[in-house]
Amino acid sequence: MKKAFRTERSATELYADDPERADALVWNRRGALKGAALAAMGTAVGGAIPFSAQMPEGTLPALFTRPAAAQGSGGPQMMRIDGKVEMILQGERPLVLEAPETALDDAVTPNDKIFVRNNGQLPEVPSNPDAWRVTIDGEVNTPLTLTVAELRSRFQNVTMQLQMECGGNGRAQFQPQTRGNQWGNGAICNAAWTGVRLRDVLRAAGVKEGARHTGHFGADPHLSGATDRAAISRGMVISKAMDEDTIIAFAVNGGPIPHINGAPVRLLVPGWPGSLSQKWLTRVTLLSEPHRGQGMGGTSYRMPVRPIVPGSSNNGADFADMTSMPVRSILSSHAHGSRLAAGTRSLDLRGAAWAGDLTVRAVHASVDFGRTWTEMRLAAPANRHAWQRWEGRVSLPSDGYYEVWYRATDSEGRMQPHAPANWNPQGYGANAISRAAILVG
Amino acid sequence: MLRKLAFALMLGGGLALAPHVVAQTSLDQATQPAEEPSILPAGEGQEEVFYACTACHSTALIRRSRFSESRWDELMTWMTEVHGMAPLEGDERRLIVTYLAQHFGPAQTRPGARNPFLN
Repeated sequence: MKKAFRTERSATELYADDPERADALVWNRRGALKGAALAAMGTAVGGAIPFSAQMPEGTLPALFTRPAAAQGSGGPQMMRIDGKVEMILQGERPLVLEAPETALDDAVTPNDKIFVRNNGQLPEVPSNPDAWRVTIDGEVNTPLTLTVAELRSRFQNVTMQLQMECGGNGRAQFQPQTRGNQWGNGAICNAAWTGVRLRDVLRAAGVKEGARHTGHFGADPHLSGATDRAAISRGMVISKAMDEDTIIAFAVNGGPIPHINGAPVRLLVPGWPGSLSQKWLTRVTLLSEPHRGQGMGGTSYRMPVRPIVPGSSNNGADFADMTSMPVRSILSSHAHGSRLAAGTRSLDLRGAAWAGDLTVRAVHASVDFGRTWTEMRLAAPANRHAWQRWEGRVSLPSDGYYEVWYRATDSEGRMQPHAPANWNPQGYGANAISRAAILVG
Repeated sequence: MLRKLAFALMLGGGLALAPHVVAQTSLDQATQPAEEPSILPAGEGQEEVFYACTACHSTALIRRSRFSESRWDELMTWMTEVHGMAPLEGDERRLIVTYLAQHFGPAQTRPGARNPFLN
C-alpha cells in the first residue's frame, strides 16, 4: 500500500477517494489534528497551523489542492500575448486564457484582463469593421441585414457593466476530472460594454408569435478547418433575448472590442453561460424550437436535474440547459500561495462576487477553516448584471499557515457550497467556496 | 519514515527557486504552437496520438486531462459525433486510447508541484 501510494497516487486523488483514510495514511490523523500528525502537516505546509483544531477531518490543505503561481513549474502555466496581461494558459489551439484572480482587482475589468475562451480558429480581422454585417432572420416578419454602422446609428446606444462568465468557470473543482478547460474562478470579467439592445433589433425585424428560441452564429472557423460546421453556435430562450441587458456590443471600456474578444460586434448575454455571448457575430435567427447548433443538446451546457454518480457515463438526454450562473466570489487582493511578513496580524481582503441574473446579498471570509466567518462590506452593483465588489479585514492571532476561505450568498439566500455539487460530465456549475493558502512569517 | 518520504516525493519537483519570467508571445505564435511528438510522454502510440490529435487541437487539451480508459474511449466517439472527427476504429483506436489512459489516466500525479512555502 505504501509503495503504491508513493509512486502512483497524489494526495489530492487519495483524498478524493477516501478523505478519512487519506488522513490516517498521510498524517496519522484521526479526529482533530494533534501531536505527531499536526507536526507532520505543519512541516508539509511550511509553517505551524494556528487553527489546526478547527480543520475539518479529511480536508487536504488548500496548498495541495489548487495550483498556485508561487509553485513555479508545478503551478499553472502562464502566457503573455499582445494586448493581455500575464494569464493562465489553458490551451493554445483553441486559445484559452484565464485571468488570475489577482488580475481581477479593478472594479471595471480593463481589456487586457478580459479572459479568452475561443472554440475555433480566429477569423480574419475585417478591413472595415463598420461594414461588418449582422443578419436577423427566422421567425421574424422582415429579415434584416444591418452593418455595424447601421446598428450603431439606428438604435439607442447603451453602456453597462456586465458580467460575462464561462459556463465552465470553476470546473477544476470537480473530482473525478471532467472534460473541458480546467478553470479556476478566473473565467469572468466585468467590463463596461456599449452596444444596442438585442430586443430593439429583433423588434425592428418584427418578432413572430411562434418565436421561442434564438440561434447565434459567428465568423470563427471550426478548429479543424471544416467548413460544414460552426466552431460554436448556441441559442437561448426568447425571454433572455428580450431582457433589457442583453446587447449586441460594438465597444468595450470606451473603445473597440479587442479582436480576440470578438470584434467588431458580439453578443453580451450577462449572467448566463458565456458561450451564448457569440463573438464575431454574424447572425441571430429566431426559432420555434430549441436551436440545434454546435454546443447544444447532450451534455453541452446542460446540467443533471436528478444528480448523477460522479464519474458516471451519461448522454445528457434528461439534463436541462443552463440558464443563470450560480453565485461565486473571487479574492483579488491576495494570491493563493502568498507569503506575508512575520508579525502580520490582519489582512485587508477585497474581491468581487456575482450571481448570474440575481444579486449577491453577502460575502463572508474565514481564516479558521470555516468555524467563524467575518462579514465583508459589499457594494451594490453598478447596474443590474454587474458584479459587486467586496472588502473587509480579518485578524490573525499569530504567525503561521492560514487559509482564507471566501463565500458569497445570493439574493435568494443560497451560499457557495463547501464542495462542488451536481457533478456532470462536462463540469458545469462548480461554485464551491474557494480557499487561498497564506503563510505569515 | 517511509510515509514522510512519500509525502516529500508527492510535493516533489525542483527545489530551486527559478525566477518567474514569462516571455511575451504574439497572437500568431500563441495560436500556432510549434509542437513535436516529444511533447508527449514516450511510449507506444506517442506519434500516432500526436498526429491524430493535433490535426485539430494542440496537445494542451491532452496534457491537462486525467481520464480513465472508458472516458477516453467515449471522448473519441464524442469528437466524431460532435466535432466531425473521422471515426477512429480498430487497432488505431485501441492504440490511441490505451496510450492516453496509460499516460493521462486518473491516477496521474501533477508533476513538479512544489511547496512555495518551503525552500
